[in-house]
Amino acid sequence: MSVLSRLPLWLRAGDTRPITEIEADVREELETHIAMLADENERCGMSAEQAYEEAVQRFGDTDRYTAECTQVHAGDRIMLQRIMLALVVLLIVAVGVLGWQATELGRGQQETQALLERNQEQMELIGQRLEAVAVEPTLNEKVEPAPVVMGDVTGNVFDASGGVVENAEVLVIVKTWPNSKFRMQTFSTKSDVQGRFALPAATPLNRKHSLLVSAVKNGYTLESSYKNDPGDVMQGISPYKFFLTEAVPLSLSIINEKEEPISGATLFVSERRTIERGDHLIYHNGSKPIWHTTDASGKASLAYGVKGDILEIAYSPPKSNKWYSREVLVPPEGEEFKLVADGDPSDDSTELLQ
Amino acid sequence: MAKKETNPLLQGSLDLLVLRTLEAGSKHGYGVARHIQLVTDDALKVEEGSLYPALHRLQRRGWVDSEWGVSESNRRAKYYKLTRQGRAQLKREVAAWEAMVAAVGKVLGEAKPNATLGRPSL
Repeated sequence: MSVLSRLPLWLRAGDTRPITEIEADVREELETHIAMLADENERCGMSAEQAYEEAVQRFGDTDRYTAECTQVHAGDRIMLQRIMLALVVLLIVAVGVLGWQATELGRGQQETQALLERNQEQMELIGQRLEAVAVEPTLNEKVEPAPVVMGDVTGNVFDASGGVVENAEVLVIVKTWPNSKFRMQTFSTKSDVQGRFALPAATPLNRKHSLLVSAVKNGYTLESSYKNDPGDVMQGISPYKFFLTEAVPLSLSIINEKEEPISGATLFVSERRTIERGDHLIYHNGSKPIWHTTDASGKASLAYGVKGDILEIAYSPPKSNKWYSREVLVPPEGEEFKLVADGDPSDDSTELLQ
Repeated sequence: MAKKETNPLLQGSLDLLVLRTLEAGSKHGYGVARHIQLVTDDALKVEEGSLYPALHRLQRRGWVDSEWGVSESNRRAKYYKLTRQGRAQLKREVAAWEAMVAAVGKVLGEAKPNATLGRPSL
């Protein structure tokens, strides 16, 4: 009890009755007091009415004192109840806000989910279409690329009069970009007795690819065809038709700085620039089938162009990786060119990559 | 509690008077009021209602206890009596009051050597 009495008032249990009950109790007590005062007044000779009025006046504001006394007992509780009410309201508001946010979040998630699903469907559609048109799906790794379909490179080699050209070297360069990386492959074959050639499964049809196909035979003009195919619409490769014209032979000799002939030097025509029919390129890669070698006197006879063509001759001394190049304007027959293979290779030269 | 126009009575003084009044035995509020009026020669001109918040405060503090009883005039009335804590509190308040009166007395005594001041008649 003594410990309890030292506690702050608001921590003590206090009056646990309902406030209305406390108030009624207090009011009865105060009215008793007034009644006693009135009794006293009456005993002193006042009329009942007068006695009561005087008693009320002497007592003071009954309502006020009732409220004060009630407050003494229940004041802390009223305050606590108000605090509790405020906290409850706050809690309800907080729960409401949280609930609303959760609902919004849930709706947002549903919307996001729906959006994702829609996106997924669209991506699948795009993926299916991509597969159908065989585009390398570099933009979206998630889309499984359609299997690569390889196509054959086929064709015929004719001469200018429509006769077949047998044993022409057919050089094929295939450029592809698998996984966004550049890749170059070389193939070669020869035309058969009927002038036909075929390189099975040489190039992907449903991927972006470039094809350089050259038909080369010494004595005939160097002809080539370069095609780019984005690979988005898969189409087969139409058979090639090369028409080779009889070429003007060039007498070439490879010499060193001292003008001594170099025998066993390698040379080939890497480019033929024509006046009217464009350029025809031979890549160093895969050029081996059309390599020539100089004879004991350092000479070789090459016929790959007609008069007016510019031929670029790539040549390399024996057992060397150094390549030189020289442009030669195809002259009338019989002119001899001396190609110097010494000193620094020209800027156009590249090391042969075998 | 007391209105401004009436003789203001310090809350502490009223508490002391009430506790002192109840020291002799249990009384209802009216009895307490009459006793204070009697012993102070009606010096405390306060509304009698102002006694009640003080009584209830003392009860809340555990210094007085109350129970309903029947008055001498056969009315239901609430009787207050001093608790053990109330008696201890009364002792402390009397001691504090005397110390204060003594201190004030000394100060006043210096100014008016012939003045006679003592304990207030309770």
